[in-house]
Amino acid sequence: MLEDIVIQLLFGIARGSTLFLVAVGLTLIYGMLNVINFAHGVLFMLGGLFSVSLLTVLGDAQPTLWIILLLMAPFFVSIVGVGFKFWLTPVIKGPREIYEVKTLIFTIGIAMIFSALARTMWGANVYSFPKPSLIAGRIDVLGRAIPAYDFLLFGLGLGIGIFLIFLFFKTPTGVLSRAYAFDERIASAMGVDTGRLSLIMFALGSFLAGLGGSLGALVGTVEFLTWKKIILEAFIVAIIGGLGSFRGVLLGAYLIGITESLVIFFFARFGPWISWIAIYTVFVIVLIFRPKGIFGGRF
Amino acid sequence: MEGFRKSTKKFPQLILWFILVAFLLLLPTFLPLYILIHTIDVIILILFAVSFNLLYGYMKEIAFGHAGFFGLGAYTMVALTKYTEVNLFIAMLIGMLFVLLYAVLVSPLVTRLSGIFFALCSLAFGEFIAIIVWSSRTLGGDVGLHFSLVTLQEMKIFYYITLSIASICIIAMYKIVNSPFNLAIRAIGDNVSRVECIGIKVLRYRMAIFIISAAFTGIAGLLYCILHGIVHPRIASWEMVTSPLVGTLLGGAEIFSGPIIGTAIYYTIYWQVSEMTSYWEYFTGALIIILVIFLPKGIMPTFHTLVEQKLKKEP
Repeated sequence: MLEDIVIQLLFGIARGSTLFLVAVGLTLIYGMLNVINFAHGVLFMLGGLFSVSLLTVLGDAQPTLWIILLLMAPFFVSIVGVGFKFWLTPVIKGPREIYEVKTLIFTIGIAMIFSALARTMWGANVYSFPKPSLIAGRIDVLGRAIPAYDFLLFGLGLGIGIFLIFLFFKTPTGVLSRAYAFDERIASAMGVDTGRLSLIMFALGSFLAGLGGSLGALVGTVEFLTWKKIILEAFIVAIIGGLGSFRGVLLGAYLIGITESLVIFFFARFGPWISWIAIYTVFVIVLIFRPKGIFGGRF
Repeated sequence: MEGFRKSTKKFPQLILWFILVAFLLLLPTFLPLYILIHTIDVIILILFAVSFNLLYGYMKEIAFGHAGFFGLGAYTMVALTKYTEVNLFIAMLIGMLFVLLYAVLVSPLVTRLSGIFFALCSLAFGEFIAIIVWSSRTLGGDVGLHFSLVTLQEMKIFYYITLSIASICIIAMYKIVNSPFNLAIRAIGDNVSRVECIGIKVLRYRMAIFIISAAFTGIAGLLYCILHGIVHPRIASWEMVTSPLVGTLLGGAEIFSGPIIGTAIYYTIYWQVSEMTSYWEYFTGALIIILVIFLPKGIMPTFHTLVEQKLKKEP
């Protein structure tokens, strides 16, 4: 029994890592520009679809190739993400309350166009590809076999989390970007290059979303509808943690991931929707006690 | 607005209304059946858009999750008529009851928030309905539930039923919009902190308008699923909201006729586009982007200011 719970916790952390990779870009961009990017789920989907295409171009699966692939697909995605930033520029003006909602509507338009574009280019097929031998195996933990893939996700999520903490709290760029998120006007008055910083955040956020997408395609499937499923979870994670809060998204992603996997383990007989009931229960509890999220308003 | 209203005399306006009503009543006699079905569809979507605009136009909040209410009533009604021996009318009533119940449950959580938080939280609560019906096998899952209530021969009768229900609802909403109640709502939309200082209970008003809007959306959902003869998870997910959203953006949010005209125009173009190609998302997405950048106020307010300028010049 105890072993089962430990293993479910591992699964939950692996699931939380995927959610973290998607939601962190969403929340970083909100923290900087006060823009909720509805098209962020599209970036996740493009990560998967780009790696499908790259795989067909590059040929068979070898371990080194997979590492290149996992870097290249997110790189292309981050180019698209930087493109989003430039399209958003004409909309971001005037008082914040007005353009927040306006940009949300605007990014829905972008998301719809990219969804149609993905259907045009990749068709309405569901893609899945063979796992590389490096992560196809299973590792024994406490007498049970766990897919090595989950360990990869676990390690990547942890590594990226630590990297981002280091980036935001130790490097000059990170300190400046925190200042920017705290108060944009004063930061730019002090000579912070806000345009460059927001560009970096867009590139970083979409790179991570693309990485999450290609990792998601590794274990599951990817199609042009993928983004609609992931964006809702990313929103819920971002709201639970507090929009614009880096600590919040770290907490929210793992909270949701662990809750989901534990509830599935204990109440699987009720059907797949029970995990959603659990997610929404957490969501409602957080909304009742902290309407702006657990770390709302704090980076 | 005021100048426009005063300068036109009552009499020509009355004639215009008479012609409009006569036109709508005589429509089924000369329209082919398939255009009539599209007309019913657009009337239902106009009802949806007007109730969406109660929140968007006057309280300045986007209720992304309204499709949840749209789908909830419809699914309740269909499930009841399919699995139990309940009368259709009673099933509709129970469906509406569910919509009201869900709205009452959700509204205190959502209406405390504003702006982007309101939009995202209402989206989450709307998607909840879509997820539940999507993963439930008894409710049809991914495929949806098929049923037939209206045959093609009965379409003309259904047109009159829809027209009367929709016009009653729209007139009721017009009364709400021009009531002191809505003045408070508008004031809240313009400046919350000032309204709070005056002594108006902001949260109570916001909850009330949210529940009213959800209820009318539920009615639209019931009519929509009776017309199409299918309930599908998609009608409860946010994609359903794009129609009233684009209609409201196109027509103009701060004016009552805006969503009506806007949805009619959007639906007509959308229908033509979707008959030509299945990639209609390009069109809708591009339209949203163009509207947000170039025409943020919509057609009708621009039109009204033009008319006002002309009327001022004439005398």
